[in-house]
Amino acid sequence: MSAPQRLHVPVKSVGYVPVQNEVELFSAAHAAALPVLLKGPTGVGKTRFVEHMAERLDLPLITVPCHEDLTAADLVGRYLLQGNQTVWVDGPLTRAMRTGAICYLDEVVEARADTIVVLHPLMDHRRELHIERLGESLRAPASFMLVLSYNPGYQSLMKDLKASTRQRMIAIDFAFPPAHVELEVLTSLYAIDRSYAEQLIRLAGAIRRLDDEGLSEAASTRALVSAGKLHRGGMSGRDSAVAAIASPLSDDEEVRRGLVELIDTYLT
Amino acid sequence: MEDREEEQRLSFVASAIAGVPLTVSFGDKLASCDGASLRLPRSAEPRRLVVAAHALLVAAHSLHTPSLSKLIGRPRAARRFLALELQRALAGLGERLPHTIESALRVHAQSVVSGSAEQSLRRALDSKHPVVELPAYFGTVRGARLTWARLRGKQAAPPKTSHGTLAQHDDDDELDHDPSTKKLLTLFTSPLGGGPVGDLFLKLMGFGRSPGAGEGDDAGGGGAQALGGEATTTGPATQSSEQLAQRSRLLAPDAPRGFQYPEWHDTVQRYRPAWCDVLEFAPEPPEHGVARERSRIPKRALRAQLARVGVEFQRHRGQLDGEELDLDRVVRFATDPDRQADARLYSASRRTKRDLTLLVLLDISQSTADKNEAGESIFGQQRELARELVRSAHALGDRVALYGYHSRGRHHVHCLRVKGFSEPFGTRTERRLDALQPGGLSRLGAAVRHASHLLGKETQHSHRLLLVLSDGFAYDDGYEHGYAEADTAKALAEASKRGIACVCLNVGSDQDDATLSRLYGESAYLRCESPRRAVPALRKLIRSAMTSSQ
Repeated sequence: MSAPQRLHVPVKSVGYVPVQNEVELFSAAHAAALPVLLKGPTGVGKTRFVEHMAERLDLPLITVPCHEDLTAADLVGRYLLQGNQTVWVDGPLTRAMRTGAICYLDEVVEARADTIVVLHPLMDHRRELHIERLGESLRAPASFMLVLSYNPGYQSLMKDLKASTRQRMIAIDFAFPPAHVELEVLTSLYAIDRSYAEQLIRLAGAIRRLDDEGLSEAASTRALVSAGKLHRGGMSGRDSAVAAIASPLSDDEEVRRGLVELIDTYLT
Repeated sequence: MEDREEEQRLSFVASAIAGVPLTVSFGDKLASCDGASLRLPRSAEPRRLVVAAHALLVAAHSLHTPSLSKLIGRPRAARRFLALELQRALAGLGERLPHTIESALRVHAQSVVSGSAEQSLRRALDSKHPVVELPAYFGTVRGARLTWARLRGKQAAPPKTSHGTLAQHDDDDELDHDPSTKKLLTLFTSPLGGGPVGDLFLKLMGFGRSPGAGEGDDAGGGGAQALGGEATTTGPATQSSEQLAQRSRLLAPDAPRGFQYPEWHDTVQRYRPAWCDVLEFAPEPPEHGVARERSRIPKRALRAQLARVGVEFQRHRGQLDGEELDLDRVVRFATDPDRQADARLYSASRRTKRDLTLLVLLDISQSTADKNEAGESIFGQQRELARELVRSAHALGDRVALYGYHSRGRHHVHCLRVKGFSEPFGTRTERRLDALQPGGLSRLGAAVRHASHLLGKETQHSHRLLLVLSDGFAYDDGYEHGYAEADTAKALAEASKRGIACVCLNVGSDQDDATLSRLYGESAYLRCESPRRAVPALRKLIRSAMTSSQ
């Protein structure tokens, strides 16, 4: 039995470059006490965005990475054995409610449907969480906010959000940022050398145009940042890109070779 | 071997720039591209520069101008056109290229930039218009080959991985330089690019472009997308460079892909390597739905049959009995002061987890259009069965895909993606299915090989199932009787060897059992008069196929 997730991230974000109106939208949702769904492929900056907003709104952030064994008790809390006694321990959701934090459920479709249903009374006008074990009903303070993230690229009926869950939230769509935003992310936020960043972005554009399942997600902004960090640390531009982009992406030798060729073509 | 690897590497780069699959191969005197394949001399240098230039032309839809036949017999104008179009493409899409290549190409700047491919063509033909010519290694634009490609069902030759693309036109130089070719080709193409004679010819082949058909105008036999939306008569060629970038991005996801598969030559007991070209594409669904007849397939029964295959063990918590105690629940139970807590303390393994990937392969050849006495076609019945199969599997949470197949000769085996594995089953997919029309012949072996290739890439589930719905007639150009039967049986056996269970259904067909058993070899098959009859036997069939494939 694993202890409940305790991931109270002390936010110290490097910053965030907005693409559209997502900052205003998120702030408005917070003011209106509405839960938010962040949709988009992996590595485009959903988590980074939540961290940035927590900092901006000056709220603690509690992140829960969801997985298929995540139960309602993992979120709400449970009794644990301690010596001869049992002690109640709040789960991350309960803790977020008590402290008026932002509770961020990352990759929420990975969680079981019955776990997500626990959230429903929290997500509508009630903003309430009933803790059966304690016989206690918690009402969310004004600053509490629920944020869910979700990657719609993976389409299967079994791994999808229920309509009853979806319609309780407002959604913000994320896509790969346009080149000039991505360039700013790489150069201003991560201090990656400008000419290398420009090359990386053209390379990413080329990989994303290869419409091969799984390939495009690999050249995510996150992967570019990783390549840039390796480069900044003294690795050659080519080796950094191979290690951060080509190799993690594919085990297929032919595809990998093609990606390395792209890297050799785009990075000089 | 080295060449082959180099070709693959260059193909990768070319496709990444073009935004559509583009195959690079060596073995031509001059570099040129037809929109799907790019050929260049082995000695071409600087290679990447040449490849990038032609790929960029594909991205800019330069090669899809209907009137490119005007370049036939005018090699100089063709090269002028290449130079002008490169300039136009660079202006709009230069950021697709690596910086070094972009600046290397910008060296060949023209004094004025064309606004469209049509304008470039007019300027190329106008000898008074000044054009800075490109170095010879950039090659040319082959009007004859492009026009041929357009005629051949409005499609570029399927990308090849080995030499010999369009082998019959290896004399393109002569074609391109011979004014009489032009006369011949213009017979088939109207100035508007509609090509009524060519269309008629294709229609006779059973590949007509009837409105609303799966291969209707929008789908354009699949190739239209490869050619960058050429199917509309105005065409993107008249668009400005700025619009281009947007447009080709939109086109990329549904671009057709070419594949090559061997074929089994039974009499000599050998494979013919790289014998069949399979083109996979998703037909554009029609904008409006059509009224469907109520299907008479027992849906509940079908779902019940499917629900009982492809299930694996899954742990369930909170059971009244089971193999293991759930510690979490025990603690909760023990700490509850009034012992009112939930007493379901066990976890148990039950066979409840869906673990099935399914591909339905639907015969859409002309022979399935035959009707029985009740006025029902094999095609109509099999299509409804396919629809219900996919609907049920999707509802059960299986990973499921639906493809239609037909062919006309070994270079034109078409696999129409009605529903891809990652696509949801909804309006778009249903309309695509509604729009399918029977036509062409059936080279079943190649279609099965492609399906098993697609299933082979699916590794999420441990059970993989191929369901073939056909009329049991495998027939194509050079693909008959014993040869066709042996090849199909071989293709199914290959799939089975890969761990893919194969089930073949023949609904309403009058093919005899002896032929069917030769055709399907060791695979499980069922012949029945109506889809209703197929349903009760389905589970047993699938089970037996699964046992024999493991």
